[in-house]
Amino acid sequence: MSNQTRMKLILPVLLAGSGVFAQDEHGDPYEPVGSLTVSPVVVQPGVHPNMEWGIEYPEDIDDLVDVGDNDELTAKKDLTMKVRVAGVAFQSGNTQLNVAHWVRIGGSSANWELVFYGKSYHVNPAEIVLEREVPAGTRIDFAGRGRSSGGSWYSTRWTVYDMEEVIGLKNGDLVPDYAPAYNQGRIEDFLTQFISDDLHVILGPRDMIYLFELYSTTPGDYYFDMQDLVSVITFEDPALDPGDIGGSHLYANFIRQIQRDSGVEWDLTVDPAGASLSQEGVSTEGSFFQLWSIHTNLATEYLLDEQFVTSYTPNAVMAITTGDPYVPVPRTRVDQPFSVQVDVSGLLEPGADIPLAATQVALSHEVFLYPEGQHSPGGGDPDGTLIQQGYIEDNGESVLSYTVTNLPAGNLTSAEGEEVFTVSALEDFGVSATVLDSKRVQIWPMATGSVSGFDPAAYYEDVPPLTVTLSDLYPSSTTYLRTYPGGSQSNPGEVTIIPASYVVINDSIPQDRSIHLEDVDSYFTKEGPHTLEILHETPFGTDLLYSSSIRVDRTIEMTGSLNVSR
Amino acid sequence: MKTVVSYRILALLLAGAVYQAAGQAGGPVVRPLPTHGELARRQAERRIDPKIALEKDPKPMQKIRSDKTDSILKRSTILSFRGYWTFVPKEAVLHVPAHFRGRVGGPRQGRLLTWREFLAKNRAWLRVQPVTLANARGEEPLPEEEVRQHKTIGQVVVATCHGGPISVKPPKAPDPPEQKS
Repeated sequence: MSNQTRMKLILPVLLAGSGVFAQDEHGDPYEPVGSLTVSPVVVQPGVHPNMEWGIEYPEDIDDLVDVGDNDELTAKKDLTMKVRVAGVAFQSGNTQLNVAHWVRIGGSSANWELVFYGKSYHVNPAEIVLEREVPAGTRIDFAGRGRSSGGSWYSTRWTVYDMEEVIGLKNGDLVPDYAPAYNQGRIEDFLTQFISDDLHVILGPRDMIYLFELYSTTPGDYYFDMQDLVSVITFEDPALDPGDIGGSHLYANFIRQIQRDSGVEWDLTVDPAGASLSQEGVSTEGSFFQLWSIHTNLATEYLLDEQFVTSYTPNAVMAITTGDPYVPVPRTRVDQPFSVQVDVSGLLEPGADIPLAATQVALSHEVFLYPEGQHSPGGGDPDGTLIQQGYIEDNGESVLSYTVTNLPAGNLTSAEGEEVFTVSALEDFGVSATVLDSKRVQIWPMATGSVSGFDPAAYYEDVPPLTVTLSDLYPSSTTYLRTYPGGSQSNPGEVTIIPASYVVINDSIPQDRSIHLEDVDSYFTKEGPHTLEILHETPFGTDLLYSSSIRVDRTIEMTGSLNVSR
Repeated sequence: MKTVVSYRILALLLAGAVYQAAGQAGGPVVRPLPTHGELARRQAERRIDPKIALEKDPKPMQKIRSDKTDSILKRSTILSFRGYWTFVPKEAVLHVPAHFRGRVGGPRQGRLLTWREFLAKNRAWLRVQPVTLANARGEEPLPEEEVRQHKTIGQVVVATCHGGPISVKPPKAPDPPEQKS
C-alpha cells in the first residue's frame, strides 16, 4: 500500500469568501502526504520486514527561502525560481517611461541579469522573464531603475542595501504603510488582485511579490507609491522528494505497528524519510503498519498510510492517472476524465481445497464531499458514499476509467471532494477483511468568472471601469480577460488581452480573486460591439468562463440645419 | 511617479499592435464549460475492466481498514509536563505513583515531543522498562522482582521494546494441565 492514503482527523476551518479577503495561510501540498512500504508483504510469522517511508509536508515560502534585512533572499534548498513582471506604472504626465529590472543570483560575485526593460504596455504578466535553478545557500538580489524621458537614469533601487524603495512581501503581509497610495485607494489595476480590502497581500504559498518605487526617495510622499515596478517570484522544489525538510519542524512522525492477534501496539519515532527493519516482527495473524504525522503545536493527526503484512493474503498495487501532472496528490477537476490501475498478484486458481478468499480480492470505490468552506474531508474518520463494489479474480492489471467525477452533488460543477479506491482481502481469509492498497484522487470544482461595471445594452463613448470576480480558479491555472471587435466567435482574429487582468495561480487548493480595472477603455479599439471574455487555462485546456458584449460608440453626432442667406 | 491622467491616445495606438500578437487567430482552442446536466449524464460513461465483477447492489463492507484509523492519540496514553507532552500506546504505562498521576493520562498541554525527546527531558520521573515481545503479548510475565521495584522507585514506568514504547498485555492464564484418564 505505497500510497498517499488520506485520513486527516482535525481540520482548520478555512475562511470562505471572495478574493478581496486576505487568503488563509496554507502550504503546498495542502496537508502532509506520505507513503509507507513494508516489504515483503507476505512473510512468515516472526519475520522482521523492511519498512520504507517518506513524508512530504506543506511548504510555504518560509520553508524555501530566508528573507534578509534588505529583502534579499537566500535559498534554503535547491529550487527553481521563476520571475514574472506583474506590472509597470512609470510615467511623466502622459509619457510612459522605461524601467529596467535585474536579478542577481549568487551574491556580489555574480552578474546582474536584465530580465525586463520597457514601458507599461510591454509587460506580459503571464510571461516568465527568468527561470533559473538556484542551489541551496544561494543569495538572490533584485534591482529596479527608472529612466527619465530625457534618457537619464534615476537612482538604482535594490536589495543590496537596506532601502525603503524596494520591498519583498509574502502572502498575508501588510502593504507598506509609508506608501500613502495604498491607504488612499490609489492601487494600479494590475495590483488589485494581490491586495485585499484590509491591505494584506494575496499570493500563492510559494510566491513573493517585489514592489519598487523608482522615482521618489521620500517615504510618505504622494509620489512614493511603491507601484512603479512590480514583479512576482515563484519558487518550486524541483526534486519533490518525500522527506524534504519543508515544514517538518512542525510535525512529529511515528510508525505504529499493531499485531493483529495480540493487539500489542508499538511506536517507532521516525524522520521524514527513511528505512528500517521492523524490530517487532509480524505476528501469526499479521501486523498493521501505520505512518502518522502529528502537528506538534495543534495536535492535528494525519494517518498518511497503512499497510497490512501477513503470511496469507494476496497483494495489490494501485495508481491513479489524471490530466494534471501535480505530484504530491493525484488531482483533477469535476469535468475531467481519470483512470485507476489495479495490479493484483498472489491470487490462486479456484479449487476444491482453496478458500474463496484465496481466489479473489474486493474492490470498493467511495466518494467524500468536502464540507462547505473546507478543502479536506473533515474531522474524524468520515464515512464516504459507496459508489461501486466488485471483486477481482485474476492476477494482473485491471483498469477503471471515468469520464467525469463520481461525486454526488446537486450541482456537479461546484462539487469538491475526493474519490477513494480500495482493494482489500476478503473477510474469512483467516482473519477479517484487510486493506491491500488504497488510493485517492482530489476533485476540484470548475471555475466561474464574471465582469461587472457595465451594461451590455448601453453604448459607451468611454468604457467604464470593470470589476472581474473569479471563483474556484484551478490550483494550477492562468486566467485573463480578452476582448475583440464584433460578436462572439470560436476563433476570433483581432484579440486584445488586458494585461492587468492576468491571474496566475500556483497553489494546492482552488483560489478566488477579484480585480478592479480602472483604465480599460484603450483596449476597445473600434466602433461598435466588442466581445468581452474570461479565459481560464489549466492543465486540461482553455475554458471560457464568461462572455458578454460591450458596445462602443465614439461617433460625434451633430444635429442642426444650414441656412444660407443672401 | 504615477499620474492619474489617462493616456488613451498613446495606448490606443500601441495596445492593438502589442497585444494583437498574443491573440492571433489560431490561438487557444476555447471551450465552454459543461453544465451540471451534462456532467450528470457523463457520469454513466464509466469503463470498468471486465475482469472486475461489479456488485449490482453495493453494500458497505465491514471495516476494511485496521479499525484503528480514527486517532492514534485516542489509542494512547498522554504524558505531559511543563509545557510539553508525548504519547505512548495504551497499556505501555506499567506504574504511576500517586504523586505523578497529574502527569499521566491527562489533557495535552503545550507542544508535542517524540518519545525520546520527552524522555530526555524527564528522566527524573520517568523510568524505562525494557520488555520482550513475549512480555508484551502476555505470554511471559515480567520478572517479579522488577514489578516489585516499580512500586518502590517512585517513578512512572513505561514499557519499551527496542527503544520504542510498547503496550503490555496482562499475563495469560496458564493452560490447565491435561487430565489423564
